[in-house]
Amino acid sequence: MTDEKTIAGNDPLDALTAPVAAEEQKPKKQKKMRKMTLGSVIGLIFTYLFLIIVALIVVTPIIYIVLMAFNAQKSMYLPTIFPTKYSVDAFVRLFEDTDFLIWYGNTLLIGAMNAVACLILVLPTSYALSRLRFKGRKNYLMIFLVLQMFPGTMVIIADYVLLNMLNLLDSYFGLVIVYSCTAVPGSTFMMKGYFDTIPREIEEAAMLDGASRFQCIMRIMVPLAKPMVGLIALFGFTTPFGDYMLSSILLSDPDKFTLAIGIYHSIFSQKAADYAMFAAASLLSALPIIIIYMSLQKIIINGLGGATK
Amino acid sequence: MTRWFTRLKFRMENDGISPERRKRGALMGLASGCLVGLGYILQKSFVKGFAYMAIEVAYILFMVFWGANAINGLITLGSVPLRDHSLMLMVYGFIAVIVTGGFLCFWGAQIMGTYKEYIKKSNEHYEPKTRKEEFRIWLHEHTAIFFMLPGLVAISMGILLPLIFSISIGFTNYDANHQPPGHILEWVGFRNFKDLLAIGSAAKTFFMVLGWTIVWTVCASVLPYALGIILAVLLNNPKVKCKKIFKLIYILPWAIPAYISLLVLQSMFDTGYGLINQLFALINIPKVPWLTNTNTARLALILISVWTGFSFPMMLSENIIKNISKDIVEAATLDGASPTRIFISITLPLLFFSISPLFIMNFAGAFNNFNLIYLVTEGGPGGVLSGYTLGAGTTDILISWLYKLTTDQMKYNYGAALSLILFILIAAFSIFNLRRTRAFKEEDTMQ
Repeated sequence: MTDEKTIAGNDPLDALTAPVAAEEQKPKKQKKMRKMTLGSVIGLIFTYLFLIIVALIVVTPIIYIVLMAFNAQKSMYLPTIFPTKYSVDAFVRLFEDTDFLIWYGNTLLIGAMNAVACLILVLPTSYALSRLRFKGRKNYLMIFLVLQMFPGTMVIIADYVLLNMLNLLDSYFGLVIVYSCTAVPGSTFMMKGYFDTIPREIEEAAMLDGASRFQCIMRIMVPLAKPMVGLIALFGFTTPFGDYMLSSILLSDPDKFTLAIGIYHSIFSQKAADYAMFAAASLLSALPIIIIYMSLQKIIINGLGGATK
Repeated sequence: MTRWFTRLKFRMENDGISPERRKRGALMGLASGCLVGLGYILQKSFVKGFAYMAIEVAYILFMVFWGANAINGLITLGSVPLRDHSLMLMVYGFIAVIVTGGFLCFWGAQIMGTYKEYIKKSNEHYEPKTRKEEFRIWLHEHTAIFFMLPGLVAISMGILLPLIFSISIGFTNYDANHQPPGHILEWVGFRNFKDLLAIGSAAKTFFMVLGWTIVWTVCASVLPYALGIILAVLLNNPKVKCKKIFKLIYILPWAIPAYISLLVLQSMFDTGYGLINQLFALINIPKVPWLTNTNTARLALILISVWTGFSFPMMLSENIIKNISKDIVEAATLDGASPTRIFISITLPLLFFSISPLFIMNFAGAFNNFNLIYLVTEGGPGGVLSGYTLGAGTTDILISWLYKLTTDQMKYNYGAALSLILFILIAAFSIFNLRRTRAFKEEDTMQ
């Protein structure tokens, strides 16, 4: 077979027939293309199907909670799947019967304090790890890497006893100390990763002009690392919005409750819980966070991706 | 160690310092060793010398009036109930030990410092500097430490001290029946660890919980990442329209505070009136007892972990795929590679490569996902009937069991011992894995 082919290829006559053969092949190729498009159409249909199903699963609980918040009935036990009567009573009850606004204020305050504390702790340390070379630097990096994996839950007894000794139970200050200290290793690593991407030359030029290290951080590094600085502040700010465990142990005074404990203790875990009120509270407390995260998603993803590069 | 000595010897033989000078320097160091700062004073650096001496005096006063007592308290944990609070004595003891450790480091450093300073000053070409200049040099040499200080203090006070403290509670008999200040705690050695790891009802519970923890950790970290990567790849198809809407929807679970989505999903899995069973009723599927049966509760937890966890890997891998260099893809196309081939041989490997460090962190995150387990099932259903003891339920993972041990069960000693076991597990896993990731290897080549 192969011998015949080579012989045929060498034959000058073959040159004449070659274009014909090519023409013959062309429609075949087109047929193949058409088949491919048919296949890809089926593939596309399945792709859409999958994407839409996932989207539906994602959206269902959200729609459910929105409808429930405007449900005229208190209970979640409805004869129909979705409520039939709608009203804003749940929101009115939320503001009249509970300390929702106080919880909200507390959470915002703790969040703001935590954001500032995180930045104060993280900025100089990550600057040193990124720019200065000193003994034991690698060991510090390793320690930071390992410590960032530890959950606060592990040391709750110790945190409780220590804060009790310092008389910091039931105070925002104690909570902020624990939040910001546990955030230090992870945030420092992210910040250090971002600082590493800023060229050293800018800073060196500034130092030649007589700037001190401290000025370098405040005037050069912070403005250049704005996305990451914002990100760490944002994570610090949103911590109390998402934390239930630590705040439920450290705070016992109802006037100092954060949103998470307030919603869980005073609404959700009550007997004959007012589900509509719970839905309304969830909606109101999640909304600002959702808006912040959605509008900053690009920065956040770039920041987190950059930290590991 | 021997290598270090030979290197030191080599350096000493080749730095051109006469034995006479070295001997005198060593004497200066010895003086500093006996009395902190004395070597500096002999060299006429009075400010430094007296400042260092003041530190030693302060340390001795601290130890005499407070520290010795505190360390004694750490050893005995007190003797008179109600007067001595064992936990407080423990903390005071740790503070005294830490201060002593710091002082010993300082002591060693200043001996070396005295020696080096003498060698420097006895050089013929040495030009004496003004006090201001010296201070500036000293400041420059210690910049790194000053910048590291805030973070180091936060870590040692906020993480390490509580960690050491809770680990040492694991070696005491602190539980509901032995509560200070009414009782004096005792050191019990490894008894708690024996109870948890060797034969006994607690050990049986521990290994059952550990088993589910492993299954949970693998499922709750792999499945969300798998779904996220699949979605990112599908969205990468140029023929798919409305990408922005899909993306916006997929990001929602990530943007909602975790405890809210968890509570909402928990109520949707309610057996009687939960949304899921109501939807099942529409298509004539009998009611599933989601959270009251062990297997379905575990399934529900894993499903919830996928719902709450897939957004982030999706966004991440989408970003990575987008950033894959166009040059590589173009070159491959010119060489005649098909889109499928490009996807398998270029896109996927690069994606896995960049996503692996975050995946490892996510693995640790799933291992520690207390919120999800506790807010959805509280560890239930039915622990006692299935042979679990000490408050553990069939869906409890180690971290949620630890929480229960310390809050409901008041078995602080077991909880603390468990936290040490967790510490070892997490540390071993993360060190082993992070050493191999790119983030750490690049650090090695950087210097």
